[in-house]
This record gives sequence, C-alpha cells and structure tokens, in this order.
Amino acid sequence: MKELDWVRLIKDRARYREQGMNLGDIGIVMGGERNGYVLVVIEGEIYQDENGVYCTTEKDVAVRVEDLEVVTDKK
Amino acid sequence: MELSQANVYVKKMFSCEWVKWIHPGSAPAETSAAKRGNVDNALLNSRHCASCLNMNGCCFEKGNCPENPLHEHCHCHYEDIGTITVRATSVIEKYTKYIFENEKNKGKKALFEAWGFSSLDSDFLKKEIERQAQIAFQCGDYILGKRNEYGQRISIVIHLKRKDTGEEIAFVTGWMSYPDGRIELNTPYGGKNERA
Repeated sequence: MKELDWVRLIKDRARYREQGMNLGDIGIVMGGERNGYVLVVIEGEIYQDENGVYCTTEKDVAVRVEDLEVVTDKK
Repeated sequence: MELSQANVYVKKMFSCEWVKWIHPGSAPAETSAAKRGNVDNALLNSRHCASCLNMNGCCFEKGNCPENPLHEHCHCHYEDIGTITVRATSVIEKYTKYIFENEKNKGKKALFEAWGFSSLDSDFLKKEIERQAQIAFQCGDYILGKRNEYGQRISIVIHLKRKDTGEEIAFVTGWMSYPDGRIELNTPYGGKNERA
C-alpha cells in the first residue's frame, strides 16, 4: 500500500464511523504510514465559502493499515 | 513579493511564539523504523495512543495550538521554544497523479484547468504552494484542522493568479504537522477554511 492508492475499508470500527467512513467505503491514501495508520481521503464536493475561498467537503480519516485493502480496479 | 507585504510577514514572524508538543518517554517519529517502534510501544503499553505519539515534537504557534490535554489521562505537555525554522514539503505526484488525474478526484482537475493550469504546471504549483505555505506557517497564518490518530491537520489558504485571466483565486490546502516545524502536504486542494 502506498500513497495515492485506492483503498477500501474492510473493517468496521466506531472510530471510523465517527469520522464519516463506513465499511466498504473507498478512498485514496494521501499520507504514508505513521504509527500504524495511513491517512485516507474520501472525495467531497467543491464549494466557495462566504469569502470566496475554494474549499471542499472531503473527509480525511486515519485508518489502520490492516483495516484496508488496495483496490486495483475501482470500476 | 512587494516590500510592504514582506514587512508584514517579517513583523508577524517575529511576533510569533512557538511551542513544541512533548509526549514524554518517546522520541519523535522521524523514520519508518521509529514509527514502527512507536506502534509496538503503543501495543505493549496501552498508556500511549497513536494520536499522542504522532503529536510528539510537532510545533505550533502558541496562540494557535491544539488544546492540552488531548484526552483523559493524557500526559502530553508543550514547551516554549521561541522560534522555529519551517520546512514545507510535498511530492510532485500529488499534482501529476492526483490533481491532474481524471479518475483520482472529484472535480479538482476540472477546476485547476478552468483556472488555466495543466499537468505541465505541476512543478510550478508544487514550488509556489510550498513557498506560500512555508511563509504562512512561519507567520502563524494557519487553521488547525482535524486531529486524529494520524496527527494534527493544518489548513493553509493559498493565493494564485488564474493563468487565463490573471484574476486572484484562493483555495484551501491540507497539511500534516511533523516534528520540528516540518509540515507535509496532504492535499494540494481540499478541506475547509475553518477550525475543526
């Protein structure tokens, strides 16, 4: 598993649900392993805030490496 | 950079007071081996959690620091360190294989292309975003984002001129704090312009 890989959550944990990631969700690894966790980003919507700054609603979740599988064919 | 803007930055830099997050009894995880050691340590000793281990050694502006303690029975603290030297780092693949990759994101490629940028601008974007983030963090101009087991996220607003019209645009970039003033780019575009 490396940065920018597609990954799927294969273990359900309350901690992941709290952060908005559910079993089977697919995201992208955006941060390499750190103390047993990788940073997984689930894409969100693009919007501009009241100051005109471009933002997104994406979620980034710290996930244990063993709770993920690499998705080779997202389709 | 205009002289007046440079003066503003210098004043801000010298007015910042920095603190370092300390997790007693463990070394900051600078290498994969050290990180793996921390995992083993956390497994063997339930007093240590990954969130605290990953905060160890990270530096924040005193007025813009995560609240301490992080959790019940947390024995972390922070120490005044005066000044720091910031290093903002990123990898080119976050542009070439993420922002400008059709399948990897939801609308970011189209947005950057609408601003006149293409994958050929990846190197420029990497360097300019690193440069602005380094100055912003050194000035304390960052937003504390979500903190989880991976560490403390930091959002920094980047300003660029559209390549097609020259109009200024601003967007949020997501960074992760690492020991001794290093911040590493998570996403060249993403997140909210508000404290989590």
